[in-house]
Amino acid sequence: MKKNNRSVSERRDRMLGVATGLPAIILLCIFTVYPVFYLIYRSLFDGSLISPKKKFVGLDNYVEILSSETFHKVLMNTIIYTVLFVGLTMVLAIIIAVWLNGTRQKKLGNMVQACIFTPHVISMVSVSIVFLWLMEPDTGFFNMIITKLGLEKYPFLSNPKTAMISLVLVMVWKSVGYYVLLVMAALQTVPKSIYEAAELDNTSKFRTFFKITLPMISPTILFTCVVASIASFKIFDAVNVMTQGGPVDSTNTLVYYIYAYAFRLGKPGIACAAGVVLLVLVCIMTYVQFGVSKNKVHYQ
Amino acid sequence: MESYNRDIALHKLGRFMNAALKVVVILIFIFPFYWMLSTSLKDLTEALQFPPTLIPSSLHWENYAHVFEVVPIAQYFRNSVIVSLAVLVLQYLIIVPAAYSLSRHEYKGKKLFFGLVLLGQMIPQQITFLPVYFMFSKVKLLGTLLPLILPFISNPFGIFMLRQYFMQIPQEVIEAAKLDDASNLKIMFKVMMPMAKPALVTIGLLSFISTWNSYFWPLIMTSSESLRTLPVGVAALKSSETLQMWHIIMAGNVVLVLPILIVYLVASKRIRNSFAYSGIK
Repeated sequence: MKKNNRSVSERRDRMLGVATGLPAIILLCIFTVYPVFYLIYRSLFDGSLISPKKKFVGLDNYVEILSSETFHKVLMNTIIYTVLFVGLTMVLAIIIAVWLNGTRQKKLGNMVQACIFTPHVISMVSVSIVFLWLMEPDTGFFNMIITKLGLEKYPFLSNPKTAMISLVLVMVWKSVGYYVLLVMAALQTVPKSIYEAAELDNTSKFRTFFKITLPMISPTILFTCVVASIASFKIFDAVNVMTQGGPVDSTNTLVYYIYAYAFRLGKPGIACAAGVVLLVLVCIMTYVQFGVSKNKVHYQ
Repeated sequence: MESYNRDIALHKLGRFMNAALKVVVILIFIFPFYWMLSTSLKDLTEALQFPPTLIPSSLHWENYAHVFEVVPIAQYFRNSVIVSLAVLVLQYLIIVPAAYSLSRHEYKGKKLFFGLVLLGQMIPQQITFLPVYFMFSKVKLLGTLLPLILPFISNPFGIFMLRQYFMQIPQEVIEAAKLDDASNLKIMFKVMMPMAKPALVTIGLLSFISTWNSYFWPLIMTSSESLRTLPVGVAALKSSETLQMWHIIMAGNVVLVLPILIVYLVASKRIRNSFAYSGIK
């Protein structure tokens, strides 16, 4: 009798578990699993955005993008952007975090931290528009400073040579506070006793940083770099608001390319094929992320 | 004695330089916001004047009235509020039971479900948007706000974080509640939810901020003016009829930034902790 009771309650427990999970399972299937498969399937078809008619073309869409010079440039731009953004942001974040972590002016230090973090919670649209205005070639604030210094006005975003780096700098300004936060959290995990030992040995601050701090936080830094790279692949908002991929495709990145092909040029087949390329990139980086995060646990 | 005095002077100078550098950094991060506000209060001539004035010579609050006339910004605002609040509230109905199921029940396929949650965190919107667009177009829902809400209420990050929290609650606490004949629902509301309050707040804050700021998704899913959210509407300000009218564009921008800025000013520390948690996981 008792045994029977137990199995009944166990069954009820199981049923309840499935029932409470079901809404989330269904939604995740509809909005994550199905779209991934449909993206791959749709990349094998031609057709337009509006009409449901489509024609099977096999791998033609892939052949078209992989042999297109624009697409090569787009991939290159995405990689350049990622390397510049992740590199600059992480170096700055480490410097600022170590600086703020060791400061005795706690109040001012907290204020700095709160201020650098502010852009991270603000919409990318707002940030893009403000910087578009600051970088305006004729009447912008940055050009006022440049002319005050006795130099010529400079069209930051409309020159293909500087458009990308301008974009990177805006993104660094927006995100660096977030990464400072993560690095500071990592700094907290370094045991104080190690620093005390170094102090007893009269180790210089410079040496302490390179021999103790950096190695101790490097697993976290590596993990953060991978996550930041995945985020960088997805850059779109700033590109669409500030440059529309121009001038001459110098800021055309992968997601902007996908968007433009789907909604401006009306070729969703090409867009889906490029989407699959993004999917592959994200998968590779996620695989790397798992490898790196195992490392992270090991070190701690 | 003299070298001692010199050391003190050097030390003081160092502290001063350090403080000065901090002020410079603060200015670098505050100035663009000031510039936005200041431009939004200038008139057209002053806004386009070169070199620009640092402080508006007179305050033109009517720019804000003007931006409400040029574009239906009140409508955008309403859409943004509806979407952000709908996602914020509805997601709890999905993620709390899901996290409970993952942390406290045993059944076949649970591992698969958890895998699904991880997959949901991994696959970005930039990959799913086209198929989802086709889907909503097929069921003729593109003319509604649903495409901006439904895909986000099964927030996989939220499920993941809540599950971690629920799993930390000792089994004895739940057994004790069960001995008191508490129903599953009661255990959920009286035991689990209060203990997971920090996680619930974190999930809510992050979700609200990201939905409010979202640009890519609503840009794709809304084609009619009446469905646009603030970021899409404000981004469109810089084209078309307001071209070069930076004082009007900035006024619109202030409307977009202000609600989040207020939330941030009120709960700065809490928000930073939330982001730190989500970044480290």
